[in-house]
Amino acid sequence: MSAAVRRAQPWLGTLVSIEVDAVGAQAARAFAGAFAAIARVHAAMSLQDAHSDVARFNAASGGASIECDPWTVAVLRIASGLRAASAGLFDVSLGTAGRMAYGIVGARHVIKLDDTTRIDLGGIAKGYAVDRAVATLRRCGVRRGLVNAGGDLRAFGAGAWPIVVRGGNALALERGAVATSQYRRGRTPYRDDALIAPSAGELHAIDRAVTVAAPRCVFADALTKVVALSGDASHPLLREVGGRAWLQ
Amino acid sequence: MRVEVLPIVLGILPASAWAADYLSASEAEALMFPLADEFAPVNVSFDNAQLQEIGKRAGITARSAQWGVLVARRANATLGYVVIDNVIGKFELITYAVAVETDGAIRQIEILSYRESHGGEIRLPAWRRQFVGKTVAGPLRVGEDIANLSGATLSCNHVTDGVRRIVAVLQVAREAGALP
Repeated sequence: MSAAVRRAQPWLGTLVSIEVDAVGAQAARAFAGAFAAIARVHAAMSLQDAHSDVARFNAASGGASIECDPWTVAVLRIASGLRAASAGLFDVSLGTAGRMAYGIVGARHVIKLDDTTRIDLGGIAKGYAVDRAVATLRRCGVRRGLVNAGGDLRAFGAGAWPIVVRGGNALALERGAVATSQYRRGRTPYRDDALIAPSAGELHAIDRAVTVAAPRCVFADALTKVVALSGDASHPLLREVGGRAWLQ
Repeated sequence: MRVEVLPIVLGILPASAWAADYLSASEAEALMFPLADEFAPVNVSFDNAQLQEIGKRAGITARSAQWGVLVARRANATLGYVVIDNVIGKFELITYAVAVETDGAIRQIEILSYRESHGGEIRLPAWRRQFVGKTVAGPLRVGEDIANLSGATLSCNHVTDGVRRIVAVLQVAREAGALP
């Protein structure tokens, strides 16, 4: 742990920190590449940025084909799979009353299925960004590192990383990803403070924190929502992605 | 869905306050303007009308009439500016550096340090017990220097507000001839 250097930048509406066992030019290259990957996810999937794929999808009319970053399409494919496997508990679509919001055409195009639907990748894009950053660090030859996007984090290489879960405890992560979502009753229904029940469009505010560990951060991130909504820390989808969950 | 290498969670440890240092001010300056051979400190003072103008452009109050700006130079040519600033969120103090080009475009933002301003935590035995039996905790460094926080409510809204304010500060200072 002594050789680790770390860096942080504001992206994805939070602070993204990256820590690597590397020095000099290799560390500089690794940081630059990994933050560029995070910035690419931010540019493509931000809900606020009017030029993002997500904002352009939301502004488009029904039937429109929207050209997207292949990474956005990849996230939407993963989201479709998780939606099907979780019987709709995980859903990036808003206001669809249970219908699919989009269809995927090839690696770069998404069809918006009707006028009123919107998508929000806030529950999955951070995890995907972390995975992309980890892949970049490995390509740069980094043997051991950790990427943390506001609490959605993933470690690789030998040796444990101490992880603090807000509100109480720490755990030691040897490898893989951890994400925690906290849900509090009576809080503003925004992002991770509450969940919009995907099928009913009804507010689910649950007094609990959910921590999910999984090999890939995209699954850890997304499955916190599945576990929170189902209240099931042994949800079958966890096993499918090689994960496990803790309810607080 | 393909199952990959399983994550290993080794055990559970008591948590404590959280803090992280990333870069020193001089490291950040050199990182953001690697070609600069000098960072000249300039103190800029604003009058009330200028402060109002900054507030109008940034959409947020100027906060202070005095700002310290580092002018990045190479052989007396101005490459850009660095401003180091602190913002206080709900629970945290964030120190960050912003590099701005001479045309006012943001070049880079780096976090220098992050501190939790409250150290208290809730112990939840029932939750802790879930980790029991997951093998050793090991001799892990836990305390002031924990680098990783899961489930953070931290937000960078205050940083992005601060960056917007700094961009306006530099614009108004340049228009007033207070910066090269």
